[in-house]
Amino acid sequence: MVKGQLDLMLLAVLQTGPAHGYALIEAIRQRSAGVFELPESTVYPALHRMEEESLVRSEWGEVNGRRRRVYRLTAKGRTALAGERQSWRRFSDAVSSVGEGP
Amino acid sequence: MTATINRYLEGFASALAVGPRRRRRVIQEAEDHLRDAAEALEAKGVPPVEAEEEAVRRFGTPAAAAGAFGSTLSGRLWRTGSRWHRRRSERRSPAQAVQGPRQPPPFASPVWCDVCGGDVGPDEGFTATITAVIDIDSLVTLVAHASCYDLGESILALRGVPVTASLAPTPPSA
Repeated sequence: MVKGQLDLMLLAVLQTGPAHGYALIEAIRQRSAGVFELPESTVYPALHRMEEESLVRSEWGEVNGRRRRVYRLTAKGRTALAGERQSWRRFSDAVSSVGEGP
Repeated sequence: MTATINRYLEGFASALAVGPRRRRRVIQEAEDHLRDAAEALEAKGVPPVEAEEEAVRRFGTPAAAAGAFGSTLSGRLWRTGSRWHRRRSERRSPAQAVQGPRQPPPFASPVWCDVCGGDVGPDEGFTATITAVIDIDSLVTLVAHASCYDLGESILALRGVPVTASLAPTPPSA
């Protein structure tokens, strides 16, 4: 999986609401019907990078009585998500056009 | 949390080469993730030991997981220093326990601190209350690092020995 695809999925899941890393991985697994089984550690470098880019922000919060680092989408992240979705649609349409033939 | 996740986190922390502030957050997030993953598997009926083994397997090898965070100069120095002290501690005989408050050693003139990157004056220092079996070199490193990066309570693991250090600056003498 390329970096852009992971970013798109993380931003898309965060659009539904704030979540911590494990919840994000589980959401991706469920929404992809098990197709995407990532090494779970890969989500954290991506989240930290997106936080440096101000696409998400995080803070320590309480989840089910436990302290967890919770991430949420920023306004800039929402804009980036829209852009990533557009890029993906263009890419997948192009692949389909070529792959499925005339 | 059984030995599996503890061992994994030790290897992960050893391979991590990021700066101290970010390091604490990364290790904490990794631990939280592994606990959540193991508990989710146990809720599905997986025995606890197998659940932890599966949780760490899904997380990725310690080297790969740590490597994905990249490296910084301060992180590489931290990693090298930690490994050096660990190897040195293993070569020495078991240390004596340090209990009760210790006053910083008195010295007449400012002393250069490699960790701080600056002078530490005779009126500056920290009172550390530590109860642990720890060699004196590691104690000096613990105090120096905690004083630079994290005043207050720090929980550090030195080769699997949990150390709780409560630090507070001593006021300069009048």
